[in-house]
Amino acid sequence: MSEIKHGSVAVVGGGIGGIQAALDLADSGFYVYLIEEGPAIGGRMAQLDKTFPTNDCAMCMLSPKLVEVGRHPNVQIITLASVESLEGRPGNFQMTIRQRPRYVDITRCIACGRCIASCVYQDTKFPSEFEVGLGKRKPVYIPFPQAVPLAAVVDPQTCIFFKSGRCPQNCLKACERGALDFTQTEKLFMLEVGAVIVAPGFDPYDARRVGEYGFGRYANVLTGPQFERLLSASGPTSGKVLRPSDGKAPKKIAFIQCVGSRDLRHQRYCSAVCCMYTTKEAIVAKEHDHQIEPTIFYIDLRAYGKGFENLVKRARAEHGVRYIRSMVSQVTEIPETKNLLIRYRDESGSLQEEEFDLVVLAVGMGPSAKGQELARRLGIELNEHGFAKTSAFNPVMSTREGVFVTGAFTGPKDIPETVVQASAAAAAVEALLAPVRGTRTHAKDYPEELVPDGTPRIGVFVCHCGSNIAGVVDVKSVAEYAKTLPGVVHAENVLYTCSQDNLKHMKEVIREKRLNRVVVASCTPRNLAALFQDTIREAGLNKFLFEMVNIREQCSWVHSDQPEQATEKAKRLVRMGVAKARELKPLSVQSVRVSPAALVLGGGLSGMIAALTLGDSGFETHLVERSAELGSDLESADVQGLKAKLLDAVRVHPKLRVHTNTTVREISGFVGNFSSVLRSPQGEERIQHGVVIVATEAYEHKPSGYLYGEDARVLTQRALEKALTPQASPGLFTVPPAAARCTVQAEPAEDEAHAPRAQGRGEGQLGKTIVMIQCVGRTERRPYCSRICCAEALKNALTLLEQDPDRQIYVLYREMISYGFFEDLYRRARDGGVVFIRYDEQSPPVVCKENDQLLVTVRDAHLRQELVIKPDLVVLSPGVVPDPYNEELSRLLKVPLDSHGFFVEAHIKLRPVDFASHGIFLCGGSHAPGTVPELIAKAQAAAGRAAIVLSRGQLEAGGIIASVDPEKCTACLTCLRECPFGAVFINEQGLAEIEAVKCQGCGICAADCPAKAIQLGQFEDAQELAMLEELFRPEQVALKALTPSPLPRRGEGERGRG
Amino acid sequence: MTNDEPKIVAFCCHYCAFAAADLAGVLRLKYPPNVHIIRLPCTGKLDALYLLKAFEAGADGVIVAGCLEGSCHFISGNLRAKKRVLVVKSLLPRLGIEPERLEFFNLSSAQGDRFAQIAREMTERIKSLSPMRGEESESKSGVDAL
Ligand code: FES
Repeated sequence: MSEIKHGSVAVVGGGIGGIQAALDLADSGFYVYLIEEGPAIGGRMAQLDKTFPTNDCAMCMLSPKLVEVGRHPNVQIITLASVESLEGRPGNFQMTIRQRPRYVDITRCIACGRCIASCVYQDTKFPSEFEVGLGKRKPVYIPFPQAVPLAAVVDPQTCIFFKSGRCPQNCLKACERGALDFTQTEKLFMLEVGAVIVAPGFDPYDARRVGEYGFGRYANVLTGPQFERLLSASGPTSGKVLRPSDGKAPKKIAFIQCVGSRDLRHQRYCSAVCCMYTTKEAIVAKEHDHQIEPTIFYIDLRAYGKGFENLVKRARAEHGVRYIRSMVSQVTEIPETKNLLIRYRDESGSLQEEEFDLVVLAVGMGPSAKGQELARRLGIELNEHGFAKTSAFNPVMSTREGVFVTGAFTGPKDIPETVVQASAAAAAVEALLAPVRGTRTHAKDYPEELVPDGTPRIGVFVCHCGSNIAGVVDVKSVAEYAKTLPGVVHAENVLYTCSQDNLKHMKEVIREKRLNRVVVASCTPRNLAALFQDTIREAGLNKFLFEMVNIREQCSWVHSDQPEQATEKAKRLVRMGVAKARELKPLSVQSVRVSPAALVLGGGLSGMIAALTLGDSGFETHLVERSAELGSDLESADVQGLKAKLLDAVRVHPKLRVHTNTTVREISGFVGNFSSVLRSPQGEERIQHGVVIVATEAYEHKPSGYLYGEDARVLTQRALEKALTPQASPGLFTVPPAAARCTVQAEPAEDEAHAPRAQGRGEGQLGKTIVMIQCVGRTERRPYCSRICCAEALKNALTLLEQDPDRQIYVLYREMISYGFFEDLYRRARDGGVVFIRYDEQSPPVVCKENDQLLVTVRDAHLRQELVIKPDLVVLSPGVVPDPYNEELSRLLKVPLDSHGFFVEAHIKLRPVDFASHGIFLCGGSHAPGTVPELIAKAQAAAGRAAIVLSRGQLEAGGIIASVDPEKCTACLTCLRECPFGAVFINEQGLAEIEAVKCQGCGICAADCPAKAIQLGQFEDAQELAMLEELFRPEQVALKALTPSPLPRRGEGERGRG
Repeated sequence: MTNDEPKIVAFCCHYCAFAAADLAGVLRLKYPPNVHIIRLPCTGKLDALYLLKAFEAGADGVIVAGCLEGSCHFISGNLRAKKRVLVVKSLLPRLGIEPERLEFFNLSSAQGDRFAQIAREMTERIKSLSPMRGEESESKSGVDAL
């Protein structure tokens, strides 16, 4: 391997996957170039209204991430850019980038929209990319309201100036900031990076190609992504579900599944997300408009992820969503009404016709065209479906060393899986570039903080924002008014508060006038507060001595029709801001040293992968396993090679310490500083560590009934798998040779056989007629889908057939969960003659014996007939159950379990491998069942997230956190009960105290404390009440008559925190 | 403030409701200028006392707006807040204040139009009630009596 040189990484693709990878890397000591094709980052997730299975608002989750990555000092976002070529070797790549002109200087643009309003095109005319063609935009536009970078862009394809050269260029004149620049040209430049992460995402399948459904011809046939925009409150119809043809509210909506997916004419594979996104869309549509009657036409309902089944149940029971199992053969339009006639065969086989007002096509995920081109330029291979080729044992590694792939580029997947893979790819990069960590990032130096002398000296800056505010609000009079407020020693108007020259000016004023509080009245604090806080910090002020007043989004923009009232309101808002500023206190941020070691609980596949990934990144790791052996969950034949490699790698790794036969007796502390006692037969040992990864696995459930345990011819899929010879494995988890590397230590895994022939049963003894029963024991108590059983059954069925093509195999199933590329197995099994019989949840198959002949009785849900099969062998898929040890871990670590015993992550979409408590991460089957590659990605991701904490060396604690006044605390324990993060503890004095590192600053405890003993920094009661009082203070009260400001308060400035 | 417009304060959580209010601005929607937003990190921070103080100080109406259920960035803040609002609502009649003057809303950050609508609707709702002014001293003692 060539030398590892550059501590910088190129992340190509600015969707949720790319953003997550960029943040993970930038937070752990690497400089990131985030390269995006389009004018803004955000990707497909930005276009979604809600996300399944929780129906959380997509933008609410994404927008803070956009802002975070946009402001991150170690991320450079490069938009309108594509990769030309990649030269070099891992650790030392040269990437050439081509950047198209934006024609707008993003450092000047303030996204006020004046250029758009002044464009010669009076009407929005061109289909908006963001609105998937449903909305329109002008040639100059802002991609979407929350876009990052938040700036206009000129599209040369539609702009008259570029088309004809004859345009008055009103936009140029309208822009008060001189941000438009038609002289910009294309740029070619080179980046030096140590590694590359490729995350170009997917393309929704082009519904036009499925001609029988009439998309593109019939106005009221939409695609799923379009419907998503209709549902979005910020979409083209402001969240009203309306028909494109006449703008009327539709009543009957049909959703057609598998459009372009699972179809030999189109995409062979299953797109893995459509069943759920449609279910979500149906529910949300119903919530928007009660009149709507949604009907979903589907082939198999694949609700296989955590919480999916529940969502479908709710859709049926609570929202009356009608599910019809049928492939729709045709959609035709009724010309008069533009309604749509759907022709389908119902379950009894008879042909039906039904009229709908609107049809939504659940288009699948196709490989991204741009991604394919990118792959060519990067020199990485694609698989047979056109997605990036990866190794099963390292699901984020491409075929070129040092280039990692993630998200839907590697195959259809949902947001959590994308986020998991992004973190996994970041972890893989961290391991590769560990020697150069921190060489390209920079931390800013700030002057020492001035200690405020207590008396408020407030400076108020009232922004014109060009005419955005000043065009409505009389900003001069607002600034004049501010001067009259108690505590204010300086007030002025600024054209653009956020401009570089003003920031400089602000710092000068702070010094000159010895300001110790700053109020900025301008736009929303959500975007720029951090910038101003940083500025006052540069001037030596504590950054919490700042208050921002929103007189743009929440005043001038919403009251432009009432300028006088708007001005009065702006004054009131400034008065409130100043009142709060008078009460502000400096808050301290403390550094806490991090113990640079990790504790990984569970020595199965996930635990070993997580530990190796951390070890490779240079962190000492304790791998703790209760049983005597590591990897006992790796039973099946096709992973024996992997198991052997992992065991070897773990054994020799210099950074790993393996503790088998060991349990955790005690664990205390918090992120960065945990202390645990490990107990083993050799005795007890105390270890210090900065993070914990819970990596326990799930195991095959032991079935009851079905003659299991009574007759040796009834066995489980896992047992069958052991009995099958590994050579015959159809390659479910096969490894593309050169790319198979789990860790730096592990050698490429050839698919050699290590599996013992379990139970001494040779292939000849398995019999000719074999019945497989899926979803065994999946009842009320274990209602969840175990996700992996169908693929296992298919794989085993194919192996059985390969051994003896004369075998007759029956698979009895409820839904065939062959999601993603597993669909290939399903097709091959059907083609190979496997008989699939669907049974209803209510009438599971029965296994009995007659004169030593096994009999399986099943009611075929399709034929509505009872069938009796006489098999030689019955194979059960009993699903998986989480490790029973989880309960103890849950108690020890105070982390939550769901009702089935699986761990609950911090956020199902965006923090899938974090616990809500900081510093504790999760992976493994005990989080959720998964295939080997899925578990590997999750384990890598957990390790990557943990490495962020460890790589810092120091953690910041404090700032906006709660603290208890011991004088007032009555130890009523309310805060202890209500804190969602377990940050409250009872100290030696028997009083409540808050662990600064754990506190997230929500203020729940402060509001609930009956003794008012708890205050949340920056949101103290005195500060909030001061705002309230000022808001309602009658105007006529002479301001000078106000009581002198209550500051300084006790020990102002010295008040320590934490 | 003009005399005929009711004075309304809206306690909004930073992550969703405040963002929705921003979006209302970005979309240039309109609502009456008598609605004033106070930003909280989460509605979980909303002290029941603030609600009473708001009425005491002279509010005609109070809006509390947090994330959608299940979407609070601090897990349970909006559920706590909702409870507190319900408790205060039940107390208001004893102070001679109509409970309709106080309302809790769940909003996503994408619901700019919903925010504007809430602001309009609350204003209308309060206008339809008989005015609260003139009894300030009474309501003050009422709050203190609690
Ligand atoms: S963060 Fe919005 S209610 Fe808690």
